Amino acid sequence: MVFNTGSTLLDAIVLAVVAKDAEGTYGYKITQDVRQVIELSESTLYPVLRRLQKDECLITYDKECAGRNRRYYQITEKGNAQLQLYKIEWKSYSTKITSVFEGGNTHD
Amino acid sequence: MTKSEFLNQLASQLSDISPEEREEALSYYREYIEDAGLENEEALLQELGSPAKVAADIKKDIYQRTSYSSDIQPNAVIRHSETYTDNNNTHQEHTKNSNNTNLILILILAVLLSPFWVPLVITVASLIFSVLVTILAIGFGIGVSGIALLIVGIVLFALGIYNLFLSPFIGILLIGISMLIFSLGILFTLFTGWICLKVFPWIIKQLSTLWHKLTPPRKGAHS
Repeated sequence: MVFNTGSTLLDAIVLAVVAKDAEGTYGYKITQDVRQVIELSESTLYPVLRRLQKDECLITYDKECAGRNRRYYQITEKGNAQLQLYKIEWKSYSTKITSVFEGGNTHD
Repeated sequence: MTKSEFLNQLASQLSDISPEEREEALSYYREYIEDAGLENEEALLQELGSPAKVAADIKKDIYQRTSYSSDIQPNAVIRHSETYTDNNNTHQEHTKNSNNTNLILILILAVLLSPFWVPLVITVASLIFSVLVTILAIGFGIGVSGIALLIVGIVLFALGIYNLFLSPFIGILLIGISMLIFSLGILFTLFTGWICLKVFPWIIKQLSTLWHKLTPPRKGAHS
């Protein structure tokens, strides 16, 4: 992967992945889903998830599954609002970069 | 390394954070490894690498980030961007290290060159000091002369009045001269007053502004 993913963008990606499931998902699955999109190591996401939880963008609940415990992460109202903001910012940001690459006359 | 070896080592690496945080991190990774399934366990443990590194990442995030309240504002970029690459070598760490190294180098250079700049600083300081003293002295001298002139003026005026009755012309001459001298005295006194009240404080203020520009306060100007 050529471009580094900043921590803000990573937050946005994680929120988007978690938001896909209304019931929420668990750490391992989140990591695998994110790895479909960008390269990152197996240990990268724990601090991100922890921080999003502290910022009240995600909540967690535990579910018994096949005799063992599994912690699920679910997006909150606040997390959703943050995600929408990130999406808008991303749209604007990526559009500008695309236009620079494609050499259009975007300068006022 | 096996799963339990990894988790045990991780636990001991995390012994210096709060029990709640430690327990959360451990359950996360315990579940994570279990979710990966037995077939993937070995590869996963290998990729996770050393428990020390995993613990360091966790601790870095705990200590570094106080919870930013994600206020919803139109321009949503809230955090500094660090970059996550696979080897987690953050750019911020890199610049922080080079800032510290620069500082140390500058200090060493300063000490080595001290035979040059120390006498220079002393000379400049003495020059400034002597200029200040000279100005003060001049002011003082003029002040004293001013007072003297005032006194002489008054005395001559009195003499002049007295002589008016003896020989009027001399009397008038004396009165005129006394007024001249008196006004000179006023001028000198005013001049001294100006120096003491305006010029001197102004010089002090200029020097302190210069000083503050040369030694800016350290904190807060950070990367």
